[in-house]
Amino acid sequence: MNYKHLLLLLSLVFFFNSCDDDTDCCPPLPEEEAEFESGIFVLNEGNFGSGNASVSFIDKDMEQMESKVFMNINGSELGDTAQSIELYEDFAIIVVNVSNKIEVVNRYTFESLATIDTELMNPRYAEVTGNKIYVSNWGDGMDPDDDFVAVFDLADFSFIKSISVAEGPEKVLAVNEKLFVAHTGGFSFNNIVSVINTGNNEVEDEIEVGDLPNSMVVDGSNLWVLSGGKPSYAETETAGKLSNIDVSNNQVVEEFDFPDSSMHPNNLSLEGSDVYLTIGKTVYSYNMSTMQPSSEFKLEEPALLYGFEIHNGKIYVASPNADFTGDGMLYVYNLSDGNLTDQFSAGINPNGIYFND
Amino acid sequence: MNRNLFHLILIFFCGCLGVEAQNDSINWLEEVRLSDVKLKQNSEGQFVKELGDSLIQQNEPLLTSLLKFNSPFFFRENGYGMVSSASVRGTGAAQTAVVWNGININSQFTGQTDFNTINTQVFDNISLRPGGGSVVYGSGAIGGTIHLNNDFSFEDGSNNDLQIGNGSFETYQAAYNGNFSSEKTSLNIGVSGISSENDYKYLGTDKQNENGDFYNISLNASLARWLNDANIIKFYSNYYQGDRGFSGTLNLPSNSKYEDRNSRNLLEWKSFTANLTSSLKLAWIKEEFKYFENRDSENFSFGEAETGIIKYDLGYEFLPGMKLNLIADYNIIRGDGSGIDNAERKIGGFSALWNHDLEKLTYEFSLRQEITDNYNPPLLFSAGGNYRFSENYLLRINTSRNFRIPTFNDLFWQSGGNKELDPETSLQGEIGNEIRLQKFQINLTAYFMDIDNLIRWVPQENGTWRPVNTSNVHNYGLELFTNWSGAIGGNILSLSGNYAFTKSIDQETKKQLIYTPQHKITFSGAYELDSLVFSFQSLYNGSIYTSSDNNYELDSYKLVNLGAEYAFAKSPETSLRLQLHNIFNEEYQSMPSRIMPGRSFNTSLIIKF
Repeated sequence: MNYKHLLLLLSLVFFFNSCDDDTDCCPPLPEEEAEFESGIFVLNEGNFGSGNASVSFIDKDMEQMESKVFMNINGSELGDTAQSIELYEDFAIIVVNVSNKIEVVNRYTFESLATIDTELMNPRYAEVTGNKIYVSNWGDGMDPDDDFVAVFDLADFSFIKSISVAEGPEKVLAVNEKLFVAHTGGFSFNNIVSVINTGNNEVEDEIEVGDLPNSMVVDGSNLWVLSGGKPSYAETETAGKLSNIDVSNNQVVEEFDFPDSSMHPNNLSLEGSDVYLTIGKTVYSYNMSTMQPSSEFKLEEPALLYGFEIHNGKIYVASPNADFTGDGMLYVYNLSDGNLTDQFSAGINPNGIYFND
Repeated sequence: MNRNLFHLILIFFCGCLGVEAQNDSINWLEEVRLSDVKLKQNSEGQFVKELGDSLIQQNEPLLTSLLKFNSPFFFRENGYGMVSSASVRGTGAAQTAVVWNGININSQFTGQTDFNTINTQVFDNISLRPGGGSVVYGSGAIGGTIHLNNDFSFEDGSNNDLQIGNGSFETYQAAYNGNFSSEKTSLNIGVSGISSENDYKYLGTDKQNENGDFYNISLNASLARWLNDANIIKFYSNYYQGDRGFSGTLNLPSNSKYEDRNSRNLLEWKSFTANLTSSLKLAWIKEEFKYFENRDSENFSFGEAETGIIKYDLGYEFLPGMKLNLIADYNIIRGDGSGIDNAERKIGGFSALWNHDLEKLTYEFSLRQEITDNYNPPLLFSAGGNYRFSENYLLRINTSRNFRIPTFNDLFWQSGGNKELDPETSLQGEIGNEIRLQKFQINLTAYFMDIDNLIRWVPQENGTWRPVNTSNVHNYGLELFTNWSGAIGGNILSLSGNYAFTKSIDQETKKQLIYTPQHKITFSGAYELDSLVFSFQSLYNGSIYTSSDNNYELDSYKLVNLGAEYAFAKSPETSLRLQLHNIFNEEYQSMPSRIMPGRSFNTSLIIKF
């Protein structure tokens, strides 16, 4: 970890904590540097093994695109195969899978605050809750028994604990005092959501959902988990499933099986009171009362929906080239009619879209 | 099989036995000496460049190292000794066939040969045959073919070569080759091994190559024995064993390991009867790999495939120089592994090869049709000729249709394998010019290739990857092979240079394919001063695109090696060789983030007895 950054960060953290017990508090961040105050980040994972992951930024007026933001601000490459970003308060926590590290930057200036490069192995997604960073890790991809969630202190980024979990932990979502971890299975297939008690950092439950739970949204005390189902090359192909979990008692209160085993839904999204998901390149809205998906429109331009977000009435799709080389695209559609409104050339293999606003 | 049967077959096919029987001992000689006569006799219209045993011996034992300095072909390497593939005439890694004593040995799983898993020191010669060759050499012979050959001699004697050496990065190597022959029997034995810690520094960084250690051993035995005046049995066997740590990239540490075990066996019975040459070949090939993502763990993925081939080839010479070969063959391949569950394919094939040598004109026509339920086999053909205008000038013209069949991975891979794939096909034409002056020889070839149904793994809407027949690519370019040799100051100087200009254009995007340099040059030479020989090798590799949108590229690079060899004893003939590689310490990579070694050296002791 970079020592200078650590100091800066420590001072920052104390600043947020209102300097309650410190005599020599920290200097405030210069405000004019908040170059990325409002706009969209696109995370480009780059090519596996090539160390060319990057972050692109599009300003809020959707006019300017700046590529390689991390490099431009910090003077060093982001790393190899960036997987995801967690935005929390002033932090952007970038999980760099192959580099086995996490880059923590200020989300408004993109200045590096810290690099966490210990106690991680195949890190996937991060979530902050209770001033702790939780990071899902596959461990050795060939070993089904070494998967874990690593916990770090948000204050000084020190390692707190490694929580052993079932195979292939992927997305993580904190609700109240719990961390819900969806297990797609990594190199294999899995069908559970494990629940970590963030008070004692122990696994308190494993909830069976559909095969390959790929996305989660929370709506009040309901956690909706969408599972894609096993793909056609699995021994038995299975249909997707939507499960509703009561977060207070970890019980599945209702679930809906998709009608056809070839239906592999993904990207469960909540926009206001409306629920959306995708199958292939088609966007569906999902009626929670009838529990029926209805097809809205197909997005023709992307090679595939590698990154997908619905935000303020727009659909954002990050799409690599079909051969996963060269620069991919960010496509923006109206959620109301599916019309393409904007497109930007992103970096190499964009996989995620994140909003600063 | 008896002679009457041969005659019956012959009558059935052509009904013209009124030709005077004759005994062409020169042809026989080639049939006996060579493992792959077709390379010599059915390459009309195409240039074949032979790299002899002394050149093989002077180079590192990895096939990549030999070819990158002595051919216009481009090689992508994941580091020294690591996975390596060729691009010949701008084609992909699976569009070059590697042929061992006449048999295609490209992997059934990947369709390609890893050029760093071929130890060159056990072969008598290695020949390069740019251009199509699927009629004779099968799948993947689109860009060109590379031939690993063992030859026989019946000279009543023996000779032995022994070479031991070591070099930078704790590299050790040893090779022994022995030939023993009588009038009736010929035996060749070859053993070669190399091992290396391979922990070279990554130039321009403070890192070094980690986990790149490797060793490999190749054993070769070939035996020929005359049964009587008209029948000879030949047996070739090669075993290769190699373990490698797969080195990481500049950004990606690795702790993986890869083990290769390959064995190849070929038994041939050849029979000569007047104008008839009959050859029955039985071959058995096994390839086996294990991949450990974590070399400290017991978990691995694997693949193994066995290929059995039976092939009957009947040649009839109507007149001296006018010959027809009819070939029937049957291949059965079984594969199993992680991701491939007991796959099998059976391929039957019929070929006819017509060959005619006239005074100035030599031409050939050949056809091949396969029968299989595994893919839709196209009719393959080749037609070519040479015309000698004068002693100094020869013109070559050739056209052919070639293919690459879907691999086991393409067809049967559990996550995405596509049984509906068609083979890639290529229609191509070339014109070659050979100019021979006293000391100077030039071969300049222009070619055009139209490759259809390229098989590529692309992500489907639901995110899974599948191989599909996609693009159409046009490749065209120029290929130049030159050499010069003469005396300067009473000592022999020999120079040789190759150049390739390559365009490989995707017809949809109109962009150059990735990993195909537009320019590649090699230049090498040797100067002999009695018992001292100085030599150099050099190459220039143009920049290559690493993305299909041509937005990203790797820089061009130049490499120069120097060598000196001093023979200090005559009996036994003993010499010492010193070589310096990459003397200008050029920082280069042929794959992104895969840094290649800087300056290094090796020394070796060579004894011939």
